[in-house]
Amino acid sequence: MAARATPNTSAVVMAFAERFRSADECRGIWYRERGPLTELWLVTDPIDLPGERHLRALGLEVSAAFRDVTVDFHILNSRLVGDDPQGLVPAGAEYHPIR
Amino acid sequence: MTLRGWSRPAPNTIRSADPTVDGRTQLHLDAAERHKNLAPWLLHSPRPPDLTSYPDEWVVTILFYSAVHLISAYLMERAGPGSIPRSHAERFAEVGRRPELRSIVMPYTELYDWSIAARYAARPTFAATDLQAASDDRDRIARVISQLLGVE
Repeated sequence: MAARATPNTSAVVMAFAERFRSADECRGIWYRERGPLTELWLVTDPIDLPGERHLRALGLEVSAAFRDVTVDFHILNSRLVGDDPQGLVPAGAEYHPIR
Repeated sequence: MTLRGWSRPAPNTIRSADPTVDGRTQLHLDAAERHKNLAPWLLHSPRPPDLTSYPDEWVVTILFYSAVHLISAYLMERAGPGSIPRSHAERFAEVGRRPELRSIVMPYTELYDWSIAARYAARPTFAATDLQAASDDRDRIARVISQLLGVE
């Protein structure tokens, strides 16, 4: 069973979910705590490079709001990874819905 | 496994060390350069007949590891051998906590994510524009690290 997220991680995950809620191409967020990091994976429908970079920039904006947490934000774009992007999310990560 | 038709060519030529950086830093810079030069070689070399597609996934992976060596070179020079991360998570943490490396977070993360796709997806798909973008990411990281180290 995955460890319960700390309040900091919960706040980070909620902020990311809120930021991506209106982005239809975003399917969901997976997260886990690993040492000093809060790791997040955003799984998306197939999106082009500018679209992916736009989401990365948004993720960096959200990360910057958390000064006492180092956020390690990743995107699993179905265009690059194929039909099962969730399969590349590391073991132990927890799912958080976006909407 | 036998590497058919393969024979070792002339020994690699190692560049003269840059006297402005530690010798161990230079080794990482050399590795980064070697990896970078492998990427176009993979794309431009004649494809063996039994290779059904170009090894785009290894081009992306090589460029990512070139970036890894660039970051290791910087950390070695600034903080010594004990500072070299032993995992990707440690490296992300190290890059994330250093303001001077803030500008490489996005290109480095992009390369990392694509290298994950390259190595672990059953059928990763990279367009030519993605490969160029990966190369540009690596070059952007190289420019920042070179400036920080004072080497060109």
